[in-house]
Formats: sequence, C-alpha cells, structure tokens
Amino acid sequence: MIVVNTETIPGMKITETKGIVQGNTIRAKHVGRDIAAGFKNIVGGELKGYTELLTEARRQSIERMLSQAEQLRANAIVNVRFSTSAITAGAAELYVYGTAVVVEPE
Amino acid sequence: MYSALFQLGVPLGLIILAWFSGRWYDHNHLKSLDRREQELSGILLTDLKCFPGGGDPVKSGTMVMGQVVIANDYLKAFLAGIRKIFGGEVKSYELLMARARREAIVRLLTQAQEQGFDAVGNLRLYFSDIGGMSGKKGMAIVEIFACGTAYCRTPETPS
Repeated sequence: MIVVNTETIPGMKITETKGIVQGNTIRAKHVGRDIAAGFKNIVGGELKGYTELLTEARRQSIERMLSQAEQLRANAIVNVRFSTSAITAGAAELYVYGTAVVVEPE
Repeated sequence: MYSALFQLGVPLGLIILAWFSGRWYDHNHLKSLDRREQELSGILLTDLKCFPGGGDPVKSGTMVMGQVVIANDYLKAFLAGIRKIFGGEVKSYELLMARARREAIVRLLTQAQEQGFDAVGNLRLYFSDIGGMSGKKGMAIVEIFACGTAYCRTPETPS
C-alpha cells in the first residue's frame, strides 16, 4: 500500500478513486502531572518518552486508516493529512485522513 | 528566616542548574543538527506538490515523517516571564521552535535517505502544544511533526 501526502504519486496514475479513509487514536497529551516532564522542563531538552508515545499513536492511527483502505480494495492513499484536537483538558485525538485510490504505473 | 532563605534559594538553585544544563544541551544539539544537516544536504527538500525532477514509476514515492517533543528550560522560561512584562521578542522561545523544526526535518530526511530516496516534496509542519502553554500553569513543551513525500529524482539526460 503506497501512502503519500501529495495528490499524485510520482510515476503512477490514478485509475479509480474510492473515497475518504481515516484513522484516529486518543491519547493523554498534557503533561501536568508527569514528574519526568517536570524535570525536563527545568533542565531543557527532548522528551524522548513523549516523542515515542506520539510516534506510536500516529502509527496506530495510520494503521487504522490503512485497514479501511484495504477493505475498500484500494492500493494507495493520497493527500494524507494529520490533525490534533484537544478533547478534554488532558487528552487529544490524533486524527489522520486521506483519499483511497487505485493506481497503476504510468 | 530559614523558610525565606529556602523560598529564595530553591528557584535560584534551579536557575543556576538550568543555566548550565540549558547551555550544554543547546550547544550539543546545535552541533548535532549542523552535522546531520550537512550529511543530508544531498536531498532536495521542497514544499512543492509537482515533484521537481521526479517521476520514476519503479521506485515511486512514499510518505516520510519526523517528529520531536522538546522542552525549554527553567531559566529561559523565567526570562520569558520577565519579557512578558515589557513586551517584545522572546528570543529563547524562538530558538526552541527553530531547534524543534530543524530536528523534525532532519529526522524526516534521515528516514527518506534510509529508504533510498533522494528528494522530498510537499513538506508540511504541524505544531502541537504538549505542556498546556495556553493555560496559566503551562510548561513550555512543544511538539513539531513534519511529513512529506519522498521520491527519486531521475538523473538529468544531457541534451
């Protein structure tokens, strides 16, 4: 399954458009009570734990989107976009969506 | 008397700690960014959707991503608090955002290079506030997520 964030795939042409596919995950986003994050906020630097957490959350959202596309029997997803929305004070939804298409080489 | 000393000493101690660690971390990070950007300078990075130089149907293209969550240190947050009173540019947060963007883009380019691509198009940068900065008790922690489409540039044919 080819996934791109442009409307076209280099070297391929779109033969059929299936429709919008999407995937989302809800994660705790704010670090208010996280002691490690509080410490990092004093000394500065990268919060590797949170980077990995968010990478994993996005990967999960993309997987859900991919399984939707597979159900529609598409072989590529184009124009993928991401969105983060705050749900409550402590949680955010990581949402990814794109258009499932069928492509073949030019 | 001791409680007053304690109340003054703890923030002062944190500021001194943050000054050293902030300088050390910034210096190392900037050096590492310069080195990696130098290694990845062969990759053409654009935010164009037309794939300049691309069109290889065999290797095609794929989405590549890079992200980072970076926190600012206590001293910079303290100085920004003072700046809030007088207004003007907050250079310490500018540096934080710049470093986060550069790091996310370097990770994206590394992913593209590992998969054998030599160009990335349609670069998009997404920002997310992790530390709740918009509230009163927020911490200065930001997440930058970069994504783009990696592709192969076909070699120039001599006319």
